[in-house]
Amino acid sequence: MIRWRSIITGILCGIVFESILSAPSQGFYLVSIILVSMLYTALPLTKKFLNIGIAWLCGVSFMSIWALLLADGHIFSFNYFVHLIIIITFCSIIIYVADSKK
Amino acid sequence: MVFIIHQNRRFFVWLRWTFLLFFVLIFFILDGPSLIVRGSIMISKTFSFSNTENTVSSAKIVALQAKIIDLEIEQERLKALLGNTERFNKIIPANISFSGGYLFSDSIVIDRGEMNGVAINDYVVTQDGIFIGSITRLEAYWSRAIPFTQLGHKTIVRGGQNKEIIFEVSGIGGGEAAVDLPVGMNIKTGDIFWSGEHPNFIIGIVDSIDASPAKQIQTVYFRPPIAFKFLISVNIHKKNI
Repeated sequence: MIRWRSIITGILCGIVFESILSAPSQGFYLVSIILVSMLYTALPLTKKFLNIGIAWLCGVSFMSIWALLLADGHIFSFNYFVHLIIIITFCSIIIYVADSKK
Repeated sequence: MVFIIHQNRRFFVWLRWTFLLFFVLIFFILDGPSLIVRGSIMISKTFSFSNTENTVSSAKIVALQAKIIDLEIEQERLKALLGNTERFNKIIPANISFSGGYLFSDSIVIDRGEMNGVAINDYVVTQDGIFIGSITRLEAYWSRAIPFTQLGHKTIVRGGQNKEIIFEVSGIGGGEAAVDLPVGMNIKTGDIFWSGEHPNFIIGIVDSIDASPAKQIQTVYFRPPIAFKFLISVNIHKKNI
């Protein structure tokens, strides 16, 4: 069963972050957050915290790879890595809470 | 058992559609049609047997851009000498509404907008003459500036005793920028660099240099002299007068 609640929450979170923060590339935040929400919904594990954990890891990896491509071959700064982790963690918590609420 | 797959067939159908949707989204967000055209050009260049005389290197482009900027500055100076002092009134003082530090946001929100005469691409500079970045989003009563250290943002800088060294730095986010330069260039930690477009504004200092003896290229890391998150007020300099 598709859990639309978490997907819609992810899309909304993505739109909000995309419009508030100045993304280095169009869709940088939106696509990554949608990816996290879709993976969370798609993953088959029965423990939800494992699903969100894996989705979080994939989201951070995806954003990091995209950031590496944008940084012209340089490794992005540590501050920026922390920034990515904060954004993905924040959205993962929102998606998890929105999905678990009855 | 944790690893139980529910409704096997439905799961794979759902996964397939998710990936399809994801790739379609990526294609359009990364400007897919443009990528195809650029890819085609790259392939045609690779297999082309024509002479490469017409190929202009990026270094030449940077040098030409610097030359244009020099000419524009000279033109402004001549205008000022002839009595056109309009440019001196084109500084708009503004307060920082939201900087967010580097951890939450890499951009700066300013409390002056279109109604105050701010325009897109205007320069944001501190009161001490340190270049921050340029305006990228404009609303009626506020605007947003991105610092030159934003991830992937390219900026031309000048260095050296007579500001004769010109190159392009690339932002790596979190208040840092980097550039790959030949080892032979005389650049040390702590050297000051200026904006390429406005040589009066300091853009940053050399924070560290990553040079391995085996390589001919060194990576130079820049950092602005002031952390943007501590800024309270700035000046907006008009780009187009």
